[in-house]
Amino acid sequence: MNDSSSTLDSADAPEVASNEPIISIDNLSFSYDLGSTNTLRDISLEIPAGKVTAFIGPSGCGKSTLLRCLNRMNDLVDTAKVTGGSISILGQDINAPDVEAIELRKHVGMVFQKYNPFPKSIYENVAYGLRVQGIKNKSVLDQAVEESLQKSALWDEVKDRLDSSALGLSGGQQQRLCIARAIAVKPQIVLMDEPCSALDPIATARIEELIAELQEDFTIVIVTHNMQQATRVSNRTAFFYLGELIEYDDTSKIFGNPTRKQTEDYVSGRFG
Amino acid sequence: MAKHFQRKGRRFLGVNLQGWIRGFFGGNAALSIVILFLICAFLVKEAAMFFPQHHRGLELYRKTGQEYVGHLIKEVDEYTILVSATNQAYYQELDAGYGAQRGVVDSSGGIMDALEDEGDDLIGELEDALDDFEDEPDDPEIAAAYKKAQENWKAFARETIAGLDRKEVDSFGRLEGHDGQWEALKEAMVDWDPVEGDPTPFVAKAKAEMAAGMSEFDAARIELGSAGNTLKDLKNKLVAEASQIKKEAVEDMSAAARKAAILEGSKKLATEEERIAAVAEAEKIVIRESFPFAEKTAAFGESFEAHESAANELKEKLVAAVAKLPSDFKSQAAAELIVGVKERTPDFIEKLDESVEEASQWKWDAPLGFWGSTMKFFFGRDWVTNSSWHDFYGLLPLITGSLLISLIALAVAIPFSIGAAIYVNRLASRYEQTFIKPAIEMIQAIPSVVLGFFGIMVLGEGLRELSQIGALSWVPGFPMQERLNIINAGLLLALMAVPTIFTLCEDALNNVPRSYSEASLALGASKLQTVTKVVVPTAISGILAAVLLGLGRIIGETMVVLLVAGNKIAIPDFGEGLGVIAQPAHTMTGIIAQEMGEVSAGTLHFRALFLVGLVLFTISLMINVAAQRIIKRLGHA
Amino acid sequence: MPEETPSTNPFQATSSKRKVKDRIGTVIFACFTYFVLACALFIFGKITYDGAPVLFTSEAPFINTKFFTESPQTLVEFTNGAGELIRMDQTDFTVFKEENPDVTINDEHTFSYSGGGIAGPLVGTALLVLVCMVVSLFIGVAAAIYLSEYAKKGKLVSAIRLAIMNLAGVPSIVYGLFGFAFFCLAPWFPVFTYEVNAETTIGAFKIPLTDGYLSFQGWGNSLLAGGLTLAVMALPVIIAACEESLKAVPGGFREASLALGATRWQCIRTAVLPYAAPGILTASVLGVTRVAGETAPIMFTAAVADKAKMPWQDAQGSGVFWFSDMLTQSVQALPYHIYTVSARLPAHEAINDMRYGSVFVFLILVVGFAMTSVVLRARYRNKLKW
Repeated sequence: MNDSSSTLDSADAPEVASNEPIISIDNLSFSYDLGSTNTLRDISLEIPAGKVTAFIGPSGCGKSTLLRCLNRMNDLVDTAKVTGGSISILGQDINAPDVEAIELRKHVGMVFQKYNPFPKSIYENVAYGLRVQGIKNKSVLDQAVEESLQKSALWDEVKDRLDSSALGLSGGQQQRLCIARAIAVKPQIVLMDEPCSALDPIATARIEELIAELQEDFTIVIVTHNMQQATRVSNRTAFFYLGELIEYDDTSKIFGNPTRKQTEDYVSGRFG
Repeated sequence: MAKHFQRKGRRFLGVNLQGWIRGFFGGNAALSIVILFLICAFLVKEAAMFFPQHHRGLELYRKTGQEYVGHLIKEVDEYTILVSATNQAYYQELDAGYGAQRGVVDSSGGIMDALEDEGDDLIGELEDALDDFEDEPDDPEIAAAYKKAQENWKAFARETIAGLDRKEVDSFGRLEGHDGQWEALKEAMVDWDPVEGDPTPFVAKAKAEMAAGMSEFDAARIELGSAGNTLKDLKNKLVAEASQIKKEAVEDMSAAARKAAILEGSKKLATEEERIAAVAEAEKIVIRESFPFAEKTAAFGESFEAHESAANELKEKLVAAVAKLPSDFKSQAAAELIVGVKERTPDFIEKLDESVEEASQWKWDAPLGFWGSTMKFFFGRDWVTNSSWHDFYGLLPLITGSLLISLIALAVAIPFSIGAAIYVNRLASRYEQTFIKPAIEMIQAIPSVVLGFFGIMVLGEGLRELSQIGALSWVPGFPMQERLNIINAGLLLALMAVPTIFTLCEDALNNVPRSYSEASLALGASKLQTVTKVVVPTAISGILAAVLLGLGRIIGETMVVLLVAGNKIAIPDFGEGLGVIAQPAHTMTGIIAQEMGEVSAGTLHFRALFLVGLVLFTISLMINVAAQRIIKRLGHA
Repeated sequence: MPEETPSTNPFQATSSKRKVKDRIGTVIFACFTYFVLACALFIFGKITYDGAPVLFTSEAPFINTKFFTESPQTLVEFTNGAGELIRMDQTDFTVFKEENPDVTINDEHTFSYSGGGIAGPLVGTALLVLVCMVVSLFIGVAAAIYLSEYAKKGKLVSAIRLAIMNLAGVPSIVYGLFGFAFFCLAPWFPVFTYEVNAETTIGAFKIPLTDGYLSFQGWGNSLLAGGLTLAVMALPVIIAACEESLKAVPGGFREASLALGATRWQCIRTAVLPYAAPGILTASVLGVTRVAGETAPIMFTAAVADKAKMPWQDAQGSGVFWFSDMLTQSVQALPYHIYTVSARLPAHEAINDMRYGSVFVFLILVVGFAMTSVVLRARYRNKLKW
């Protein structure tokens, strides 16, 4: 907390060579009940920087679980445990004993399935992440809030009512506000857990446009149960089934010419 | 490669700030364990010290012969109960047969008092005049003065009597319905001679009538009352002896301590002389190796025979006197009392024989087991404190009172609370639900001292008046003698238990899956059938747990029972069957509240109260654990 | 096959007997319910009917101010020469006798604690509740935060939960015994004092630059001991209430906050507590109100029947010494006062005003507080839907 403002400084942020994977998952197994049954089994995949990667699969296949492993949100579940393998982000094993989940989460932001702005003003929602990192300087906050809202394509809609409650916004706006809140702390990676599942088609389209724009600045990992959405927004797609990674490739390959039978069945709508 | 995401922030004692914050909250939460432990520890500490102290007390009770004399005390007490029942019957019968005469006699006394009070000066004058007249009866002036004084008195008497409040004079209302007698009495009392003070012929006649009509009964009752005189005398003699022995023994035992205290104190004295005096005083205290109990209590061993013969005499005379008691009565109450006396007499004689036999077993040095003294607490039938004779600490009357009141409260509360829960949860309209639930919650907010107050001021009197109605005399315990009694406390506690049981019951009913009742309704069952055949059986363990927690709440309730239960430390007389509910009782909670403020720390009495608290704590803990078990089982089912 | 009687309605109610049974059953259950409500209403009504006239007067200011501004004192009843029954407070009576030395006074009776007003008991109860509230809220909220936000399943947590559940079932008189033994008698709690008690076990320490000592001599029968006993008793209720309020804050707030890199404590402080606070407050007030109505825990830890001055008037010294002395004063308390006048004095009509008046005030206070917090809680629950 003492020098946390430096995490915002992009010069200080960990650099990755463009060909290096920003996240590499190696033989990961994960359990929600202290290892009795593994929700995820032997997952290995590498997620490239600056791209949008989609996790797809039928419900209960473990795609959301894997996503929550990436910023260790599963720590909140008492009995959750990584039972094998490792995850490296920016070259650092994130489950190493000297890694602080709080520091990790400053680099790996997250947007949730159900939009969850705090019952505060729009401004305070976006500034929240910066405030908990100890930034009090008003001009820094103002600038970050404006920048994030612009990036999330919300600025024009809300700039005149930054002080009004976030709960007064529409559902789509609230979710974009949550995205703005997540990117305000300048993470390298943004995880999105079915960000459009609670939204109508028009709002969904806005969010999808936004994801395409955000791709320039952030590495995005998105979980979706909507296959069209995966084809529209992602560069790479991973298909999970029953806790295992079945296939991982370029999105066009997965949807056009999958190698595995299960993938083909799923993307063509034969099950799931 | 540089390490990212490392911990930041200062650490103290190997724990970072987050750890300390977490520890702070955890510590506060763990405080609840500490408090529960402390409560246990403090209760157990005092209670554990009770038993050895209590044991020593009982040992002394035996060694001083008090235990032996205690038998005689009990015997005389039992006998006295018979005597007072007979006397009560006598007066009841007197009222029934000669109420008017008794009223005349009583009221004449009241009138005399009033006349004497207010006519003090006139009586003085009258006396003076009479004295003068007796000295010189022939002096016409004096005779005239005397006559005048008499006339003055009569005028005064007439006026005063006319102004009397009939209710005050005839405070028991014995002359109600005998207006003729009242008027005649008033007339007769005008002629009353305050100097001689003898009753007027009118009153004397009433007295004679009374005596004549009741002579047989009166004689029998006096005979019965004197049957135990020998035993009573023996008891009084032995009580005095045993008390003396105890006093000596206690002094003897504290001799060493007193000596030490004086010697210690003498060191602080200012002058040498004072010190020498104090030391000399201390030297006077004799410290004996052991107190000569055998020698001192020898007389008791020798009194066994006297005891037996006194008891035999009592038996013979009692049987004879009881046989002489009349069997026809004008008063129903008197008839019942005498029947009771006649029925109890054989029991009494049997008990007396047992008691004499037991008393003769007494030996000053018979060993007293620790187990025995412990049981004396848990099953002792007496709780007597601050007694000059011996303090008894017996839990039985208290625990009986507590349980009896709680069970009555529970029996009343169960139908109301469960019925209300079923109604609100399943049968009532939405609108009713919105106000019934908070209204019942509000009942919980009524402070218990307010309910107790209500019991004293309103419910007690109301119940007693209700119990006087003739048509209700079939109800057990009616008519009631006492305002403050078990049923009064039980009803108020029932009201206190209703919100607890209601709320938990409603939760249990809420937890019954909707699909169950839907299935039943779909099969054509009515709402009520669904409730009684499907919903209630499914929720039964939750309901049971609710009832248990309600019991826990009322058994631990203090103020209502302290104010309303009547606070009589005795095991209620179950001989009356359900009528027991009209008797007063004392409770475990009540006794602590009543006596704790008056005892000093560390005494046996103080520790006894803590032990009662521990018993109470254990009972409520067990009830609580049982309820939790039931709820847990429900959760797994 | 054509029906023989096609006109009958197959859904017609057939068994009227069953319907009647159903109806009767429902009515019986309704009777049970409304009988309970009627009993409660009767108690309220009776106490209001007899108590309200004591409090209100027919002329301005319409409120019996004396009843709220004076402390209880002895009531004197007598009949004057004209045979009129007169009641007045002891102090007034003394003045009256001095001013009218010739007046005839017959049948003089005195009744302790039955004259004056209830200012002392009211203030005492308020102070006890204040101490109780401060302590139990602090510990209760902290414990609830631990249980709801930090605790992971384990032996410690189940032990804590078991302890809380059992504490909730401990009878109030047992809390009284515990408070008496632990806070009043145990000679180890510290006070600031000018005089040192020789019986201290741990001892007294001279405080530099003052005449006073920090003496570990126990608190005795005092405001502090009584307030803490009440606090211990309120704890299970408060913890349960706070936990419920904390649980009502949606998990999404916590997730969002933590995902932004907030620490646990930051998350609780900024994303949980602000939204749980109104619920915590209303529920705790309800809990404390229930405890404040109890008499048994303060009977031998704090309350006295007779005390002429308010605690702050009686306290000696200044600064911390004054404060310490005030907290270790015994106090009058309204429930204890009611117990005294209604159970420890023989029944007499002269006492009834004091009895009904104080019971009415107490009932109004307790039920009023409880009702307000229930209403606020309901309103707050309706308002906050996230």
